[in-house]
Amino acid sequence: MDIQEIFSLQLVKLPYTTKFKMLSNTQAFLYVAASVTARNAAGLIGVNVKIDDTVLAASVVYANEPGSSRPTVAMLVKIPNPTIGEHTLTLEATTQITMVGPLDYACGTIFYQGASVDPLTWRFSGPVPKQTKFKSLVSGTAVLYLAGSGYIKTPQVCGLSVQLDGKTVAKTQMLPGIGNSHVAFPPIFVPVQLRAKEYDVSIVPTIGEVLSDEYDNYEVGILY
Amino acid sequence: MALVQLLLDQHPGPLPIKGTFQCLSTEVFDFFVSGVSVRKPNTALGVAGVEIYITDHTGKQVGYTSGTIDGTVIGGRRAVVSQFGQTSLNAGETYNFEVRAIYPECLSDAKDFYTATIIY
Repeated sequence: MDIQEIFSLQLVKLPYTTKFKMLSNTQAFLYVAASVTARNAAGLIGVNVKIDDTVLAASVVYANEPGSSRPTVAMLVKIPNPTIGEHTLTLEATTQITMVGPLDYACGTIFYQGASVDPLTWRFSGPVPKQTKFKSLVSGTAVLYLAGSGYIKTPQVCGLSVQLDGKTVAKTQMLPGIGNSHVAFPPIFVPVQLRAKEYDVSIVPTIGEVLSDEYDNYEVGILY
Repeated sequence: MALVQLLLDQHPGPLPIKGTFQCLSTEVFDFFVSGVSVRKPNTALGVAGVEIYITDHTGKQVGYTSGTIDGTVIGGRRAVVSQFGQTSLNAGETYNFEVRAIYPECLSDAKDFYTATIIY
């Protein structure tokens, strides 16, 4: 898989704009991870990600504590009509309460995919669990991506897992520091063995105490 | 299809975590570490994070990347913002890796989990 790092920085202001050169006309997927700070109220915070002035997606998280830096749910999104050459990427505040603090960060990476595969990008809002269908055109090893958020009443180790046909194939977990406060779980890239067939893909909490609502966002990707 | 190596799969802390892997290709590869970090109580405000070092049999560093986040204790552990690192090594050779906190002031324990992946 061809992978291209396009930026990595300490975010000192929004909007942030950078130029990058796409290396191929093949289908491509953009990964963006960031942290931002809630200005003066609880609510959704994050960054809209634009390429050539077109918003591709927003990477957001619900911040319960104003003034606090939070990692957003890192996003993986298909780049429409990829073309070799120079392009502009912009990160801008998703909401009015989004700002960058002294220690916020962002990075972006492009994954290039061959023409003979049909990668999955499944983005949705909570609550979870949720299920979809995915048909792999080929057999072998793929890269599964998982990111999402949630909260828990009493802090304990918790997280999210991805199941294929009911079998857990990926898991991310952490110990939230505060009860009833949304957290973005660490995003992960892990190998997964696939056959050329249709799968039921589910994202489920690792323990029953994990709560989620419409302010939680989820990303599952399968790349080849 | 992808050529992928999982170095750590939700491996519990504390950091550092050390291991070895056999490189599968001479092609350039990308690697990624994810997890959480926070600074210890009563330390100065600042950045927290996790980093992964790859070294060869002589101890020479041949690969590095990290994830960083505001380490403010209030709010507790946070997922780090991880960037991919890139390097190329010799196929068939065994290399060492170490996942560690980016500063001694960073806290990690058995309730923290780390994932590290190589994508060729």
